[in-house]
Amino acid sequence: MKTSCRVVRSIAPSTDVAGLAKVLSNHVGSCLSCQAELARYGKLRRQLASLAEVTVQAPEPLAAEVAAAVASNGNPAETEAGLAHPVRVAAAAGAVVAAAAGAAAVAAWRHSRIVTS
Amino acid sequence: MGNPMPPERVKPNDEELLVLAMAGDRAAFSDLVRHHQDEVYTLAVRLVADRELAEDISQEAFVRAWRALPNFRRDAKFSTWMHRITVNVAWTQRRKQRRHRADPIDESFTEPVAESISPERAAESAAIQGSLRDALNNLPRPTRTVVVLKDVYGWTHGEIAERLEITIAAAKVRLHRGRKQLRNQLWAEMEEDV
Repeated sequence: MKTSCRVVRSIAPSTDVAGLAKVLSNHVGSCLSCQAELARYGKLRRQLASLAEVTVQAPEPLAAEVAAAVASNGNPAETEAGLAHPVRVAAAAGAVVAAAAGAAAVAAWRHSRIVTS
Repeated sequence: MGNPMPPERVKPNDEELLVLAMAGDRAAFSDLVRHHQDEVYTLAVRLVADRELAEDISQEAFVRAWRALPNFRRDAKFSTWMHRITVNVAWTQRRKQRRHRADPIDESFTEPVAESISPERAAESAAIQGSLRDALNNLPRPTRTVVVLKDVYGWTHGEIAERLEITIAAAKVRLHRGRKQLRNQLWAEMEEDV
């Protein structure tokens, strides 16, 4: 096998005739084996693309299953608001508690220093 | 004089259903599910090659979509958004599964044939698509995912890389490897027509 053929075969899965460098295009123009190889990849890609037009029918219960799952999930707008609000409240409460605990710790430390001195 | 005809009820389109669903209308969302369930399920089946798993993935994708509706910016079509969510769910599920067992292949799965072609063409198409489906199912799932998204659904390397959280170079390598494996598996069949 010629070097040019090997190069074409190695890059053929990622390219097509239009994507080949000029020097390789010249080779492909006169090499039936490389033309056939590129044609195979072209056909493969057309077949794969044709699968996009074929739809597999979803199982009958899918829509009902989704409806049941959605019914148990609440309204998304409410869920969003319902989640955001407690999170904010909890964060604020946490910050207040942490600040109070810090202040108490500082006061206790100062008190202990006064007592020991 | 006969009774006047009742006004014909116009079915809302996807856009109208989406607006209603975003406002919390479950019935509208159910209609959207019915409109899009086949394409979501088809994508899931192609990604995981297992009907039961594809059903679970489709269901999870729609439930996630329902939860995320308030964040849907509508810069893409609902179907495009659903495709992204479906790929995410399938990919996340793969990560969970790969520690436990090998990728399952549903032997009973047969790719349906498009109905708008002649019987001879349909038979040929069925044979080719059957072989193609088998060859696709034989690919490792990460490779198959990239081939399906790029060559069947026309995603760009950038979109694939972003959705699968891999580099563009990795997406290109998987595509190259996948096409090469498919070509090797389908060689004999393609030889006849070349």
